[in-house]
Amino acid sequence: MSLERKDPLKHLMPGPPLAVIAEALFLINLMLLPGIAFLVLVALWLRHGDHPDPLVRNHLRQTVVTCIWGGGLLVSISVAIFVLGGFDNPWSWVIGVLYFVLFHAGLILLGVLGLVRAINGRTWRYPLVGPRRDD
Amino acid sequence: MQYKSQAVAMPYFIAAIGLFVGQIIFGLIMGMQYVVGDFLFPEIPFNVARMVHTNLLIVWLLFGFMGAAYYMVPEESETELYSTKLAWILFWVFLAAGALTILGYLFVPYATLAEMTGNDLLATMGREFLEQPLPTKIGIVVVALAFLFNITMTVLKGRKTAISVVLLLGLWGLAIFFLFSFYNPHNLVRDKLYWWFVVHLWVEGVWELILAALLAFVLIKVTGVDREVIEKWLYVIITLALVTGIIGTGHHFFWIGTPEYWQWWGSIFSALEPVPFFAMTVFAFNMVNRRKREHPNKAAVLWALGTGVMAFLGAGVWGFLHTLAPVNYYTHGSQITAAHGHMAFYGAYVMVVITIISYAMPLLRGRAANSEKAQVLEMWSFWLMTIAMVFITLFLTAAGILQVWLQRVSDTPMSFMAAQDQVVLFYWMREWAGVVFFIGLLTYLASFFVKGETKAVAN
Repeated sequence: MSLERKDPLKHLMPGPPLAVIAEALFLINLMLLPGIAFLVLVALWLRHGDHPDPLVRNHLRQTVVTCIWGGGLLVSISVAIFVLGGFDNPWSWVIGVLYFVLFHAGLILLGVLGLVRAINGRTWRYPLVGPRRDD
Repeated sequence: MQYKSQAVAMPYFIAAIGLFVGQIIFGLIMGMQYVVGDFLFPEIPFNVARMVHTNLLIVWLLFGFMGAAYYMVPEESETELYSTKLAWILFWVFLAAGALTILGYLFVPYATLAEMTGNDLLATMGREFLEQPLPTKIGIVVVALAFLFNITMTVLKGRKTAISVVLLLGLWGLAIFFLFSFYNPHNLVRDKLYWWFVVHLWVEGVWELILAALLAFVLIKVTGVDREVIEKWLYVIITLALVTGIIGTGHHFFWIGTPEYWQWWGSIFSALEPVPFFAMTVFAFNMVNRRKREHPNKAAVLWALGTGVMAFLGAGVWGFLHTLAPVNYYTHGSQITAAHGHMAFYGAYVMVVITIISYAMPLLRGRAANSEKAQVLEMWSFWLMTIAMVFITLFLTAAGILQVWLQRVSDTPMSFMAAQDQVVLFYWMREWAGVVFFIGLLTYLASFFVKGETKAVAN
């Protein structure tokens, strides 16, 4: 299926809105409404997962899978650091806070790249955890 | 270079880079003093090194902003500068005043300097970042007003663009908020309150407008994206910056004696302060990602992208880390603040000034871009300085978390100096990262002298 895209040099948002919304929800989940934005994203994926536009399918699938993997690694390793190291251990805080901040910021920056690709009507694959196929 | 008068930007850029080198040398001296307390004592005591380090930063960034304005405004306004002569005079006045002030810090005891420079007539000295003697402060105002006159007249006689208007707004704001440095009430709470009107409303207010304007200008040039598209982003970014940044000043009012409601206002609005920086990151990547041709100046593109990322990390993420009042209750004034300060200043302001220098200098030297060899070296300097700054920030953050725990959270809290002894390993690692940063800076300097086949300016 061939889809016409708007000229990225002239339009503010040449990419498909659904793809942009998916990436925006990925970022909102990380920064503003964790959990809630994820649920909305999953609902969006369930509803539009078989969208005719491959770009929409790509961004929906990438964001949902990365949300699950990223969120899982972010929370589980942070909890593990504190449980294994102990809350009363200052080194748990040093390692725990640095891990959380770096991993979280890393996911945000990858999300920015995903959002930019969606806005410009391009496909995107999150490194390491993003699925290779879109269906 | 489209207009002859743009050439006046070059001495400003050269001075900025020279002072940047001085700033880093004093940073290294201070870093050493953290681990070897009497290093270079009594010749350069810690408090003097710190004053020189921070004041040089402010002065070289101001040189960078002025150079950027002299380069950008004629091109944006499509007319020659109102007065090139005035720009040259101001350059020498500002350079002489800056140099004399730094020499004063280094060779005259601070109390004597205050006495010699009329601090008893109007006491403005002795406050962090605003240590400048009265004549220097007056000099800054005179230079700023004359500079603004020159730039404003140029804009008024030529084309008005969103970029030049946002730049002007930022520069006027910079001058106006500096006037609070002359107001030094006896009441310590009010003193601190107005002090933040300069410091915070500069770096988390009007300077962000300058940053956004500089970034927008370079992105138009290197991506070829329509001005209208970039201007829409610019409007969104400056709105976000002002909405969050102005009331966000409240995060400095938590513990200085102001009413308790500032803990709510400060926390909420400053928690939103990462948003404009986030928008800037999206903006920079978005514009570069949608370009249809490669700009020959790859180094400038790299600096522009780096500005977006590092400003978001340093000012946004590391600012948020300790901005909520319940967190700041523990972390206030610790090495976490220093970590944030270093990465935020580097990411937001150092990098954007280098971005415009990287874009404009080859054009000022009569070429579209430097040779491939020179650009490779410049990109090496980008990575060396940026990675070093990431590590400086990480080591300071680790030191800060440990410091907060040992000094403020523990059931058996340590004294300040005892806690400092426990984090000395991180200070050593920070110093080594600082050395790498300095090597990166020297590499950057070297890139100006590398010859090779340059790209000609398209007519």
